[in-house]
Amino acid sequence: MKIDEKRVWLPYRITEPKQLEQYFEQMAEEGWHPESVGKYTAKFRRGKPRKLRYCVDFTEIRRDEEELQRYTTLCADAGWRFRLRAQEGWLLFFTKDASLTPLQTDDKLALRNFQKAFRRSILDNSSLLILWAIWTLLDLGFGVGKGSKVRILSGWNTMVELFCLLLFVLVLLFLAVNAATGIVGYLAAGRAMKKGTPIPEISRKTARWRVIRRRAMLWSCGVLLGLSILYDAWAGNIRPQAEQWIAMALGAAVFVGGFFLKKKWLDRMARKIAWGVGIFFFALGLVMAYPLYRMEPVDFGTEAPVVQAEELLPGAEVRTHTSEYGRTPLYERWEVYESGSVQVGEDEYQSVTVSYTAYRACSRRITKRLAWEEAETIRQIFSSTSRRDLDWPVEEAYLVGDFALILRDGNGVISYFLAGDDPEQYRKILLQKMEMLNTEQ
Amino acid sequence: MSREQLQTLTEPMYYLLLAMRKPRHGYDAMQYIEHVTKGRVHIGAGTMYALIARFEKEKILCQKAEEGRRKIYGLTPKGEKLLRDEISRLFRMLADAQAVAEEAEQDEN
Repeated sequence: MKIDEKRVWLPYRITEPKQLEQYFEQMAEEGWHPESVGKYTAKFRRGKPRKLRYCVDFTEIRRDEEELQRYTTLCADAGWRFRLRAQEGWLLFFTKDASLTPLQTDDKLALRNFQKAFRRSILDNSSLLILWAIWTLLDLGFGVGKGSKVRILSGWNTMVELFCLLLFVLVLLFLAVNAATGIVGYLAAGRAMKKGTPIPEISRKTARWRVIRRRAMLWSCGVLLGLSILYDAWAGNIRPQAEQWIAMALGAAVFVGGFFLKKKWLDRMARKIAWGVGIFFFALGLVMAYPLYRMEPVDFGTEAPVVQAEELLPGAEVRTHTSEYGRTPLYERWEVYESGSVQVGEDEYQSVTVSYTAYRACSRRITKRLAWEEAETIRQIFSSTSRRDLDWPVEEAYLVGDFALILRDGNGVISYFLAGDDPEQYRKILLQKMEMLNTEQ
Repeated sequence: MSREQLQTLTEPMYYLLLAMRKPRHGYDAMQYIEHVTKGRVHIGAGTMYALIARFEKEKILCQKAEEGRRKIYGLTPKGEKLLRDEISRLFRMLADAQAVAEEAEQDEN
């Protein structure tokens, strides 16, 4: 069965408008007509092979639909039919008339519109880079003067998390390289337009390599993610049960089958359904951990020992709870460890390790997660707006026997771990600290 | 398009003002210009749209009516003055050119 629709990687980009036009013309000659154009890909629909002339038009019109309709009507009157608006904002027109007056006859105006369109595109492409830069700056800003330094790797405990970190770096690298080469292309195109000379073109080989690189990156990411999940499953990081294995294997089989068999057996819709079913079963395999953790006690061995949670009651009375610490694939977390000290006596200081954990999950889920551990909320020991020496607003507090004071607010958790040889001594310090906070409240 | 360019109009700008002495929509103006210049001056639809938008912003053109999705524009008093000034400037330039040409002719004789 013939495929009527296809999505392909675009070999050219905004800084190569003439080559983009030629690419669409060549596709039209082969019977493929564009339906939508994204930043890196374009969707084509099969139709009659036609000899068309395409025009990539950089216009100032952005979100005003009425104005866009007026503009396309004017262009249609002049013989240029509107095909689509690309994700990056430029418009695509086509005509059958090879000798029709171009849409833009004023070089300076065309240059100005091109520059504007490119600046917008760079801004769009750089949004992730900017976010990353802001995050880093804020992080460094918070770190300065407080002695804290982020050590991202200290928080990972599954291969998937490590892969996500690698992916994050790769995506940033991809965006940075893309932005840098884009700017070089933009400057060259701008200079050429100013001089009235043709915009520099890239060779067919370079364009082909660009497509291969992107395709390879996407597929290797998918394969690496799959391998990471399998490794975690094998190493016991996500601990799938037999039911999970079956669901995940079935999902992977249907998904991969949907890809390899598409050209021969499956049409577009059947392939979409196959992929949907595959993803559903694979996700189901992962999510099944949720009820399974609840139904069966999981043996974490020495990795995550059973801990005692002590509830602090008024009058310094302590109630003990036993809890099982578990891990779940339903959230990811980033951790930061800091080392410092607290003053115990007049000239005596005790070392203390502070662990700050930010969960990438909603607070409701974390509350649920903490509820699994049966570590009940003591009570609100100080207001959420209070910062005091913790520099952290808190909604809930837990005292976990022997090693930690855990405070939660929203989807952030802060823990004080004491290091040293005398747990009893540190427990006293923690209790004193809570008493002190209670008194201040 | 910088502001200075409006003080000395480009060829497409001049012909657009000339066309808009009578209220017209963009495509009508494009056809009129091709007709008046006997096909010498072509203005692309994208350029025409940008010129009209610029002139409307500068209050040189204003909307007179609307026909479906087509707006019909005409000259404002400011636009009429700009066109008159441009025509007299062109006349002066032509007169200067004629005088120079006559001088050159006399020198040759």
